[in-house]
Amino acid sequence: MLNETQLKVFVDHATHYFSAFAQEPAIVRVPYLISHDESLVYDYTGVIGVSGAFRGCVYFTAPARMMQYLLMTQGETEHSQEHCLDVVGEIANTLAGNARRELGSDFMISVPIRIAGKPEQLTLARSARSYAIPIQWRVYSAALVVSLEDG
Amino acid sequence: MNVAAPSTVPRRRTGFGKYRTIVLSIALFLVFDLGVLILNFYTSSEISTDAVGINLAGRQRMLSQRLVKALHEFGAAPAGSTEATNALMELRNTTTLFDTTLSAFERGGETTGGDGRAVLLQPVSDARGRAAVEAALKLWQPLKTALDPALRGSDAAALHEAVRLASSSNLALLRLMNDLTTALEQVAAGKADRLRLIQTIGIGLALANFFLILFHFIRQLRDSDTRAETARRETVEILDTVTDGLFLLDRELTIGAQPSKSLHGLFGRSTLANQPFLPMLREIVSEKVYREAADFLDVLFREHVNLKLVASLNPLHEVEVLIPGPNGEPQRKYLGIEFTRVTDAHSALVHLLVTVRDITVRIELARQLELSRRQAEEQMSLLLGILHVEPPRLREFIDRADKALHDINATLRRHGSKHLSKRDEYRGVLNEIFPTIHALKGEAGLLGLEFFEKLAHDFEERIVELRGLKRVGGDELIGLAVQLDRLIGSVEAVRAMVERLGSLQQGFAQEATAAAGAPAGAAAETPAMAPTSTAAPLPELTVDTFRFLVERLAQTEHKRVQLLASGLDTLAVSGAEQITALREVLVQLLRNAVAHGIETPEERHLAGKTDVGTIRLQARADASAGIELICHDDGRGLDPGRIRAAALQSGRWSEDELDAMGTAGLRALLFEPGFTTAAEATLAAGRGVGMDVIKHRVEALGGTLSVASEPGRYCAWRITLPGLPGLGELSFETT
Repeated sequence: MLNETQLKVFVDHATHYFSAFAQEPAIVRVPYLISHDESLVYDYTGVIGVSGAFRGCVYFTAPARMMQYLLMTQGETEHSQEHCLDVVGEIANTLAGNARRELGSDFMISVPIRIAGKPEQLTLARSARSYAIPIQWRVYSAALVVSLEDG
Repeated sequence: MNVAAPSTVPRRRTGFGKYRTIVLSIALFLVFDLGVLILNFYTSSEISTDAVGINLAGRQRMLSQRLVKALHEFGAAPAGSTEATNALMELRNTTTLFDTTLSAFERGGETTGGDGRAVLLQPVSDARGRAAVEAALKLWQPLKTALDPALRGSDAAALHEAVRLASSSNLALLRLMNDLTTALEQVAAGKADRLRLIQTIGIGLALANFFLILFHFIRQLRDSDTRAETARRETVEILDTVTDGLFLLDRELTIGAQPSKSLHGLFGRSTLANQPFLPMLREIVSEKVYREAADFLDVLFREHVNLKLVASLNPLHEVEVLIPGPNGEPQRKYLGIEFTRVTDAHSALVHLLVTVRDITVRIELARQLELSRRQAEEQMSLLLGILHVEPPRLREFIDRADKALHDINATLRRHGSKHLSKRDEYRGVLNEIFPTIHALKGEAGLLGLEFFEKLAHDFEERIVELRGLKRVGGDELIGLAVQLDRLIGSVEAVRAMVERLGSLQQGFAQEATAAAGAPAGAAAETPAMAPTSTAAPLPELTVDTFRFLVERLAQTEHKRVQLLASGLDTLAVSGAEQITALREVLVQLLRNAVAHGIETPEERHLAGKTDVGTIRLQARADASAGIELICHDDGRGLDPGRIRAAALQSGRWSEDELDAMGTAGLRALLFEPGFTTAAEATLAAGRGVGMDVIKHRVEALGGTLSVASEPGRYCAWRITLPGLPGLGELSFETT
């Protein structure tokens, strides 16, 4: 079963991205549990698959306005879907890279995939509840969802 | 485990193998050409020599005429004149040249060529030429003899004789030299004809050889191509059809040019041929497996290492991989990757043949079995923890726990959805969820569900710990979410166990009924643990329930306590909500009584009390008038000094504030969230939780909570719910 430290690895690196690249840190709001039949996705989602000691997925999902504002703060003038996907993919990539490093070599972390709109292929762990960690940046709300079950 | 060598080992070929015939043919072709060339050179050389002979034979014709002319001019010119001298010199030259050349034609030898250089002539071998030379010699010898005196210029008669002989043999000599020329020309022409013939035959043979090579080898090549194409097609069909992934790996660990089609699906990649294997592997397996695989492959290519010995070390024998699915989403698979050495005819290791199988189904089945086994073990342990609880009460607990935990999650979710300003924090969330988890802990303790009580206690501990932080942010609550998940998981596990046991019992009951001939369904009406029972039974407030709790807590606290109760049965007239609330309150009061009120046997002994402390519960209820409940213990009572010390130690109040409070004010501190007088936290008490919960619970039902206490003697709590006046047996103070 995922422990607090492992869960924090994902949360810390998701928020670290904002501290490092978005001029203003993100705030973690109250985390809660969601079941496998619930859907928590915004306009853009970056997903990494996890396998090994745990299996499932971890994704960062954010509304389009948040991604556009983020692009603006990074000095980007293009705010197209592709650019927004780049940002969400970059956050997922940060999660993947750090998770590979910090969770140990028994984990397999997939190459992140980026999704615009409601992802059909995103399924949460059935045998366990998933953690929904709302992340607030400026006035926007995004979420980190950690859906892992024992491998 | 090498790939088996062919049954007939190919002989080592020393020549050109299958190309021997074509090499021989080409060699023959070259020999023909070389032969023709040599003959050509030889014959050409002869023809060239013959041409010199022909030229000199032609010159003999001319010399015979010049000799006669010079002889006539010498005879006609005045003696001693320049003309005579010139004619004599011409006569000498032509005579010498004619004689030397004729002699060379006859015996072979040197003469002077047209360019004045010495020329070597072979004796004339042709019969006609030879006859002409011999006939010419016969004519020339007398003439030469006659010319000698004339050439010396001493005798006019000799000159006259020479002129006569020359005139008579002139035409014959001319004809003979002409014959010689013709004969030599014919010899040369014959050689030229022979040369052409040789060239024609040689070219013909060369052409024949060429066409032989062409047609023979085109057919062989076609056959070979056909066989190769058939073999290639068969290979492609096999590689396209085989469900296992197959490919060759070279020493540079590059995938071969012809991986099987299924390999792309197994590795989730469209391009594999000629790609490096390890970087691809790194993307789909864990870093640990990747490193082990790299080392293993290195070992496999060391030919002296016995494959059988290292095969068991293959880290890819059963490996979990994460590969991109059709839409790029990560898919989990299990692959079985095996390596076989491929050697050439000289037993040198050239490749590894890699076989890849999708073993996901098998591994998943094994995993499910393992999970089931683990679950069965956990359930057995769980079963031991719940067996002592009556099924209806267990079900009631599960329902209540499930609702309570989901209420907590709903609270977290509600706050998590709210926008948060930088100054905001979540201390309020902790206060909001605390009573729920605390009540649940009490319920679990009441039923003796220790594992659950422990989880709830840990949750509670975490809340108290978080309350001590200066600022409670969302990330501090991550641990709570993890603990909540564990609590929910435990409730689900207990529910699953209860349902399973219920089904089992129902099945047994039906079997027993059927065996006894009872009507079908009759047995299902009264199962002891039937999950189908829809109405949860009313919560019970029996002395046995609380005695169990008190004894267990006393044991934990190393105390001796007896519980005496009266009138609890009258509470049955109350509604379920009231009973539930009273039970929560009583659980907390009893916990406090055991933890804070009753002393240890040693303390009691020193205080002149019996070793066994006594807690009395007295209840009186009337359906119309209401409820009164008193919980009395003969412990140390409420000690204002101890409360003050604990309050001061908590740092929440100053000495001045505490001094100003008085006894009533100090007692009121007991209802402050987080306040405790216990030195350390235990399952029974100590985290400063409970009294505030009791107070809010009672007030929520419109009741009152009051306390009476004498330090060192007793402490009694009275709860009244609406409509019922107090018993008045004791002196109570309103809190």
